[in-house]
Amino acid sequence: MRGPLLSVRDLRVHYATEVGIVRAVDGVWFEVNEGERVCIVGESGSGKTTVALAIMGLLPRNALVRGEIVYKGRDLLKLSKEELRSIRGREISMVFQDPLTSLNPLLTIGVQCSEPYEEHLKLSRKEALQRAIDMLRKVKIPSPETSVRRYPHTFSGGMRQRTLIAMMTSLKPRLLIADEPFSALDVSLQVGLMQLLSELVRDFNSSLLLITHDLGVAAELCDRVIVMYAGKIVEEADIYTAFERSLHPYTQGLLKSLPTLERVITRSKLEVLRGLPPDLIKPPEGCRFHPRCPFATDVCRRDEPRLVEVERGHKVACWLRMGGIGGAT
Amino acid sequence: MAPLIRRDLSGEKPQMYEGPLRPLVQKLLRNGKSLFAIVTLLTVLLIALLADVIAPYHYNEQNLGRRLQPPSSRHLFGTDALGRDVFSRVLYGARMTLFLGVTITFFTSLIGITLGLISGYAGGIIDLVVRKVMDVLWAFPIIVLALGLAALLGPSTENLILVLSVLLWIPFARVVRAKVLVIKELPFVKYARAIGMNPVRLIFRHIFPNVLSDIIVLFVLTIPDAMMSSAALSFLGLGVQPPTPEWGAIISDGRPYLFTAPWISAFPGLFLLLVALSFNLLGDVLTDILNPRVGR
Repeated sequence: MRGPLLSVRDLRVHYATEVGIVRAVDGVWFEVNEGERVCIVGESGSGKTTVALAIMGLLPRNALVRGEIVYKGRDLLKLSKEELRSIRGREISMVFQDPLTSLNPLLTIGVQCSEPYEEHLKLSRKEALQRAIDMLRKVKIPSPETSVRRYPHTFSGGMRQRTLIAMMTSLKPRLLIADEPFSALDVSLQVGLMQLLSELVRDFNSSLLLITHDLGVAAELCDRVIVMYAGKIVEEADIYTAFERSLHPYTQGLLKSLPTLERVITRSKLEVLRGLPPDLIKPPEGCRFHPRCPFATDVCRRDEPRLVEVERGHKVACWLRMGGIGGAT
Repeated sequence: MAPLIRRDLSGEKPQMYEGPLRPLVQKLLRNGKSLFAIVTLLTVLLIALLADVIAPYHYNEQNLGRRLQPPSSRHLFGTDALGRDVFSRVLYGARMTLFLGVTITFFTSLIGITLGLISGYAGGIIDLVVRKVMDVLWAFPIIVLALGLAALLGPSTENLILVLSVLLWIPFARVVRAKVLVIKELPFVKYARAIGMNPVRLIFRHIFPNVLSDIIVLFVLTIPDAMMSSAALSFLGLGVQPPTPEWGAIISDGRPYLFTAPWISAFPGLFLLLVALSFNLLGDVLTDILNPRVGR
């Protein structure tokens, strides 16, 4: 059996800031297999974007990184800048949020979409442009031959995100990371873009690491869900298990805050998770979720729960699920 | 750039795209300040180019019998202590003064832009070193440093260009660095890095063009600075050497006769003022057009 495409082992990313050390990611382990679609969900500030940037090697200067990010048997954190650059955009690629400001206003669409081909395949401008046109056609940009001569401001938000997706998947990356790719867009556009992303990933047989706060999007696109809270993974399960038999109170809270058709019809109020994510300079002792957890006990306040596999492929970090502690379900 | 015909998404009406240059020129010509500046500068440029044709005398033609003559129909701007025609010398002087202004600005902007791009993009130690060098240079009056350096290297036109190019780059480096710090955080730079783009290419393709509008403004505003500084050094005898006419040098020639023959210094001074003013006006208007958010 082959090993996973990407395996993140005990990743820790701390930001040195003037007010203290922010433990944005604090000991994260997970794997992404070949062709698999994995989703990281969590609130803002849970460290999900930091994980993505760490994989890309695009963390800001003040970040301290520990642990291993093993891609195809090589630790990305140990590669030189040049080696990393040859992997970025070719093997591992990333789509960011906010498509509206993500294209350079001074360059035409064609020039920008040609860049991966010129950089990695060393194609001439002409060849690269031709490939870019083909790629734009694939993402359904209308009349790509003339669109390549247009400037980004003439493109709508949806078209810009399509263009960016085309740009970042143009070299058929083995792993595509998408960081909230739909959050700045209209809901009506999201569906189309999700389909597009899904098709591209399938056609290129790429793995997808989707980062989102929207469990609905996760359910639509992914096979497996990783739930992060305050820099740690609290639960990991395949998508069905996560929705039907989630074990961590935080995951359950996230699910309850999803508006569903049923809830709309019965006009029941949405339940919300009370409180705010903790300060990552001084994270709470014990389980990081305990100040917001309705079931918190003394153990939770004192000791940190480890991520434990409770059934095949389903891991959770919660004292309530480890037996020995009475209390609510 | 040739006009490009583009189609709307609807496919109905073709649009013309005339490139960024034409609207800019139109705006410049519509504004009174910049129109005045452009007309003045073009006139002076024309004078400089056609000096051989317009000038009634050679710039070094001496006539000791007619020294220190006041302006007349024969000598429009009068004559200097050696009986040379001031009008002709001012015309020829335009060449040297414009040349100095543009050349020095060009070289100094190269230094400033390069250092600004590198220190802004790379950050860290490199940035720290560049910033400290700027702080130290900035702490002294430029003209004093220039005097010292020029005296050390010996007075000549080449050394004048060298000295001022080495000293005037700080504003370029500052402006470019500040702008790069902002631009490198923009999403499209993040994308370029995510593509795995080579940093040199990234800087030239994505960052430099976005700083260009500031560079243009600064370039136009630095030309008069360079002209005035080189005129000042020439006035003090450390720049352009006689008998080559240069406005600063001509003003210097007239210094002993300021009360008896003020025309020698007055006319080149007037031209210097006019040209420097024009560049400044042009720079102001360009700032308004290219960076519309800067307060007015």
